[in-house]
Parts: sequence; structure tokens; C-alpha cells
Amino acid sequence: MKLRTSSKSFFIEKFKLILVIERNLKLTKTIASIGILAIFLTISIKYASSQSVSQMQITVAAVSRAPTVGTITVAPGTVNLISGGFIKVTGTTALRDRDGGTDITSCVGYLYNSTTYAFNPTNARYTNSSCYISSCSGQRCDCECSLKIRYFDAPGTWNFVINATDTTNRFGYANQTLVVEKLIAIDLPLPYAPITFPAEINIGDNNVPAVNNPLKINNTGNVKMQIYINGTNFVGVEDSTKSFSISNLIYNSTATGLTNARSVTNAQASFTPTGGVPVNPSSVAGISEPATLYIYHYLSIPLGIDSLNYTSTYQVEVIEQP
Amino acid sequence: MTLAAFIMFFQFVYYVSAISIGVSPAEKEVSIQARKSTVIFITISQSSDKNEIVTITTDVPWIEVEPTTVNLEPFGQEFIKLKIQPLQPGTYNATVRVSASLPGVIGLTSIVSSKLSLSVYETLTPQIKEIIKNNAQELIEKAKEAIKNARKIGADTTEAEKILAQALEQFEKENYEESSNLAQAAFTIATILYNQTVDEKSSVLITFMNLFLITISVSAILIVGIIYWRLKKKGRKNIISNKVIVKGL
Repeated sequence: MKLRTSSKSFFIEKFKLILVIERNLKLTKTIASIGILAIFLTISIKYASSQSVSQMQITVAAVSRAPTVGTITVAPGTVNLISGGFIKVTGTTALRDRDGGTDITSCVGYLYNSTTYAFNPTNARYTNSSCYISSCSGQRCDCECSLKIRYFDAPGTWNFVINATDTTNRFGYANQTLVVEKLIAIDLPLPYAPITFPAEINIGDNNVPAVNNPLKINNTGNVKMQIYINGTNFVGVEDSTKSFSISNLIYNSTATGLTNARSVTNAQASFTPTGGVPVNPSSVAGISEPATLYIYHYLSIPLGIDSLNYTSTYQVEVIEQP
Repeated sequence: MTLAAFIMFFQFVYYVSAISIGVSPAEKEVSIQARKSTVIFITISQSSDKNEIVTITTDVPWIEVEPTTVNLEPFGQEFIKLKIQPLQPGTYNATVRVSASLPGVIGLTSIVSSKLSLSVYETLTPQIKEIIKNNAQELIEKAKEAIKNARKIGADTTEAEKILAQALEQFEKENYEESSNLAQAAFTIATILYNQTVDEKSSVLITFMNLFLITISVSAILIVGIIYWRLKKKGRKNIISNKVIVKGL
């Protein structure tokens, strides 16, 4: 649009003035209804010294306002994970858009470990692209976003980011920190536990393998583990005064060979692969299942003991790898 | 349906475990005031498909565990209250051991441990006391809001409300640290309840939708069957009437 106005004597040279004005929703909506989200208004005022008319060009761009994301409330703010499971974390916030709440088209939630990464949607650990937008009124909408943190996710400070986008793909975001606590957890799957030997073993038999070898110990937490093993002596069921040492039960971490096997003792003994039992999805060297340690057991029955049923207890204790 | 059954079977196979136990946090550092009791919470969990009897013990006399035995539901999580008795200034360490057992000729016990580290201060400066008080106040408000939201969608918030009441009581007694811990626990419980209830409602909706789709499918099959049967019957009648016509001719 061109405007011609009267000249002013203080303008000596021809000049061009460009102004950019952002307009609010009402104007945008009017235009948006026919598919245009910005208008350019050009006002040229040409000033010619030879003419008694000044002309000034003003460019006015009325564009959509980017939405803003309010403070995010994250629940729970401290996450105590579940062995082998997940915890749902919910972030809620108010979204505002000066073009009106209905101009907001989507609300996306991201969760990432801020101890390890700087935020970028591509390195978000988890993304929920369809968070729930509700209660739109005036310039405000509410956004509720849930994401799951799994048992093997690293402990530390995490960030919950909510990103809101409008019809013109303008966006705004905010973030809130949460703490993922350390989880130490194990799972001993069937049919590998409890350790079972043939119902009858001859006195004097050596290194009889357990029928359900190996015992599997899965790390279902988020820290590397150190494993300790111990047991109690075998005691006669029919006669508790009869017993034989738990040291007749030997164990190692390979299916073949007893060279490196060691005896179970009454005192706790560490039995941990180098570096500890890793967190899922990493594997123990030589084992295909992730975060699983195998323990093979063999039992010898010493000569001279009475023919009875015997029982014992076997204990696996795990602590965080120091 | 076949696919759903297959997935369910696969999940069943995947989750079958003999014994499972977890504790979080695996380590915790707490700063408390001398000669004042404090409560902190840890969570225990399991990922087996059976109930497990879990026992919680400590290696120090100044921690009172409540409860000491829990019947943990399949894939369940429970809060365990650790009441720390009044202590003199200094640094203290403790281990909380959580164990579950499996019977057998060689009975199996698995144990996981949580390490606690306590710094006990003589007195708190008025500024720090004010910060702790504000923190407690903030946590109480958050817990109230979370309980309100959970109650709104039909969750049973009795336990969370009970803990919140204790937090308020401690706040009145100016035990702000304990109040904060209790409020934090109430908030966490309410949030978990909220999420669980939302999940349950979603699953009910999905079941309803599945039933609706099954009804529609069965109805459609029946309608098609009836139409087919009627058309077939009509066709046979036509053949018979044609035969009659032919005979008549």
C-alpha cells in the first residue's frame, strides 16, 4: 500500500524506513482464515526533492506469536525405579499463546539424562509426541505429558522438557529437573533357581552338575553390581546332627571345565566379573544375554557320611560396584 | 485376538522369575539435626509374577524399620519407613538389607542392600532453618495438590493423606526436616496412585473398545451369514419354481 503525504523540508535525501510490527491474534486469525498467517504492509513514501511530495516506504509484518511454556510440575520429582519395570513420570504445565490457546497445535514431552547430554530433541532418551492438551481458554491451554523411565536408565539428574508448537510451527519450551535414584535389583529366573541336584546322589560321587545349571542372575537395576556368595553346611533332614560342609558345593562361571571352580563357604566371597555385572543392555563377557551373570554349580558327596536327605541354604547378596 | 493371546503368552514367559528383589535408592546421604528423630523412606520392588515375602533389616540399632516384613505383590512396589533415632553430632553409616527367599533342598536367599550416610549437625543457622522450613512448606503444598488430583480421578489416597497429616504435625512441632521427608513421601505416593488409576482407567476403556469391536465384528458376520442364507434359500426357491414352471410347460 502506498501513501503519499506532504513533504517536510527536513528530509534532504530519499530514504526508506522499514518497520516490523507484530500483530496479535485477532489480525492473524482474520488472515489465517484464508490461509495466510502473515501480512506485509508496505508503505512507501517517496521523497523527491524535485517534487513537493515525500514518499516513505514502511514494511509492516504482522506475524504469529510463538507459544510460551510455563513452569513444569514434574511428578514424581524423585524417581525410585522398580526392579525390572518402569516408573511413569508426568509433567504438567500451562501453555500460553497470544494468538489464542487454540493456535497451539501440539505439545511434545522429552526426557533426557542431563548429566550426560545437553538438550536436543535428537538425544532425548524418551519422547511423547502426543501429550494431552486440554482446558483451552483465552490465551491459555493446559498440557499433561507422561513418559516412562525404565529400570536400567542411568541415575542422576534428568530434564523433563515440554515443547509447544503453534499453527505456524513457531515453538516455545521449558524444562524442569528431576532426580533418578540408584536402583540395585536382581532377578533370578525360573527354571534356573533354586539350585537343584538329582534327587539321589551316590556317596563318593564327585562334581555332579546341578540339573538346572547355570543359575542366572539378572541385573534389573541401574547400577553395576558386585556379587557375594555364601552358604550354610548341609544338614540331615532326618537327623540334624549329621552334616557335611558346604565347601563340597563348587561353582564357576563357565559351562565347561572345573579348573577355576571355587568352593562355597560360610563366609561371603565376591564372585564378580571384572568391572561388575553391567547394567542392561550390556553383557557380561562371554554371555549373550544382557546384564546376566551365569553361575554353574557342582556337588561332591564326601565318603563316610550317612545316607540321608540333606538341606542347605545358598545366599546371593549384591551391592553396588564400588 | 490371536495376536493379543500370543503377546500375553510371550509376556508371561518373559516375566516368569523364581525370585526378584530391588531397593531404591541404593545409596542415600542425609543431613539431620542432632538429638532429633527423623524419618526417611526407601522403596522396595520386585518383578516376579508371584507374591514375595520380603524382609528388611539394618545393621545398626539407631534405625527402626517399619514394616520389617512385606508381602510384596507381583511387580509391586512398597515404601519402607526408616525412623532414625536421635543422634549425637557426627557422621554415621548404615546398611539396609532387603531379602527374599525361595524354598528348596538348597534354599535360595537373594539380598540387595541400600547404603545410608548420615551427617548429624549440632544446630542449624536461622537462615538454613528458614530454607528447610520453606522447603517443607513447598513440599506440603505439592503433596496436597497431588492428593487432590489423585482423589479427583477416584484413587484411594488414604495412605498418602495419613503421611501428609504426619508431615503437618511435624511442621507444627517445627521438625521441618522430618516434615519435608514425610511430605515428599506423601507426594510420591499420591503421584504413583494417580498414574496407576489413569492406567487402570485406560485399560478399562481399551477393554470396552475391544468388546465393542468384537460385538460389531460378530454382528457383521451374523448379518452377512443371514443375508447369504436368505439369498441361497431364495435361489433354491427360484430353482424349484423354475422346475415347476418347466414341469407345467
